[in-house]
Amino acid sequence: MAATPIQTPAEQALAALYPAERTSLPGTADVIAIRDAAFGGVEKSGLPHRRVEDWKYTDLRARLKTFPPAAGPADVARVLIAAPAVDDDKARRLVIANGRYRPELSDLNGLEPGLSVFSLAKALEAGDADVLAALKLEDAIATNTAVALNTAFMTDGLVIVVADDAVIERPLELVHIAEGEPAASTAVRHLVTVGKGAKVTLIETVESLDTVAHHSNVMTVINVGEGAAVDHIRLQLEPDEAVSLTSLVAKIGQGASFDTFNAALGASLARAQIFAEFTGRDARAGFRGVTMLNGRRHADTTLFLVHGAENCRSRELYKAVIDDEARSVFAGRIAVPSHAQKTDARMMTASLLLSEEAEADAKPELEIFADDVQCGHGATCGAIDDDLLFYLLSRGIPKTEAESMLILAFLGEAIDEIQNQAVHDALIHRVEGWLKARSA
Amino acid sequence: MLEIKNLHARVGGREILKGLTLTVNPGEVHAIMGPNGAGKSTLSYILAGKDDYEVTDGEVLLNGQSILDLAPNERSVAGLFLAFQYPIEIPGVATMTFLKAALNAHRKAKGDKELTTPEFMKLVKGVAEKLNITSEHHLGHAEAAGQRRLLRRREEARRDHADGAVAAGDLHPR
Repeated sequence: MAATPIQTPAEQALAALYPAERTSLPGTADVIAIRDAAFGGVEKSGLPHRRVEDWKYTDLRARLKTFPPAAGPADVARVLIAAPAVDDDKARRLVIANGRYRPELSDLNGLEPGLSVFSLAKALEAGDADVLAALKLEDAIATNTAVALNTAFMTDGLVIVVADDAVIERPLELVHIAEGEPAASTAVRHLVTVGKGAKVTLIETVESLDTVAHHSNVMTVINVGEGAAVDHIRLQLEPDEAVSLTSLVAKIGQGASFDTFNAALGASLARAQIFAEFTGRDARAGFRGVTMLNGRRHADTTLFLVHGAENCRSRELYKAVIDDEARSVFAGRIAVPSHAQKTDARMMTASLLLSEEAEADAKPELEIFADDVQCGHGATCGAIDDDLLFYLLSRGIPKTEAESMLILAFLGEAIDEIQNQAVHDALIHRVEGWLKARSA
Repeated sequence: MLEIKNLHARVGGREILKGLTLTVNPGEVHAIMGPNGAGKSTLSYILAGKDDYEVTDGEVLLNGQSILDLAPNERSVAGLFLAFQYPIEIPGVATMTFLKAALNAHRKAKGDKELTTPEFMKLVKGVAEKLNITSEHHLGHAEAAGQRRLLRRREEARRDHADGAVAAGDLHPR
């Protein structure tokens, strides 16, 4: 006999929010049907809790105290004066403020040939067949709670198409800004299609201008065409009060090259999910990230990778620095179906614990059905090495500076893989700021 | 001047030093020899201030001032440091970053202006030439072996030219 789940305040808020928003959200009747199905699933199962394996260490039901109402339009003046998170004149900034794409705040001058950028909300309103088709996801992804909530509540986002063989020199910087009080929720969906042999860099920044418990849900779906090269980097820079859910869905075509990097530097509760799949042979991909946590913050990185084709190579490297009573979670699952011979995957996660109460949970899972594969995983968890620290101290370097050097060196292995220099520097700058605040 | 008076120390509950007294005057070089387990390393680590070594009795004075309550970096800038027999490689920390931080910590303690990166690189180049470390070591990005070699030469140089400061170190035969 199935017991009726007792609703938490967050579940009650969601149950009240969806019917109120349902018809004012953009989209035709077909879109509403997709939203209804997604929300119905969440309502039926409730928020996932620790007995749901994929959320074992991030009990959303217990951790999500409330679910704030949908954000209204942003104050453009405040968004305009916000300092850019990445100092890169070259990047083309595309601004999504309070869940709405703002072309008037975005740099659309001289779009490269082969690049098109338009609003998801408009496509949903118009019932664009390609966009509707792109909303359909396989069940395992569609029923994931963060994804389903995104589908139910998405207000806007970017539909980006890069034509075959187009090389987009200027990185696209998707700037997500939440603004205003009291706390509000946003849900944004991006659909990115990169054609055969095309090349593009996508940077995402996610931040809020106010230190309130904003709740942001950003989902990016990328189709990497045959032989294409896509570099994706996300900097999650939310204030310590915020809740940040991000999902990345990547389909990686034959002979393509895909890299994604996630820096989780903010939010009280953060979950970065990656659903990636090799759909064609001879492709390669890199999945990397860093997490920095203090106070009682919680950050989760969950990777589901299907090595679904022959002779594909992937590298996974996630590093976390955890202070105070914070908790970092890494779950990485790599599935190798029986036909995916010559698969080469190496997954590594390492955590540096800076206090007695800090916690790191690592859960690597390999499901291998092919017999000619190289698939390895490793996890380490430890404190700063006393011998290294003593060596630096014995050379006159003060303790806090010595610790900072060692922490930066620990993260450097992952950060130095970022190819985009401006993002690399912006991230190092943030890390140094974090370290400075820690030793103050 | 370094004065060690009646030093007793234990590590992991075992008493290693049982009343060591030694005075090292400026300009003197002392070698401490003994079989394995005699306490040579323990003495070095205690003087340098490593954690886990408990001084149970006695005192250590550097130029008349007790150093036992100082942190290792404070002892270092006061002029007492441990020259490691095998300098540790620190994964991810560039040798130049490390050397610059160490030098500037000492300069700061002395009240000298800290060196900027270009000033520091110029200094390094000069020192490297004196020590016959040619550019093929690519100072900034030296491979591990090169870094170790550079660090060891630096340690040796410091030991040889320990002007006024006292270098305490392991003296195992190489």
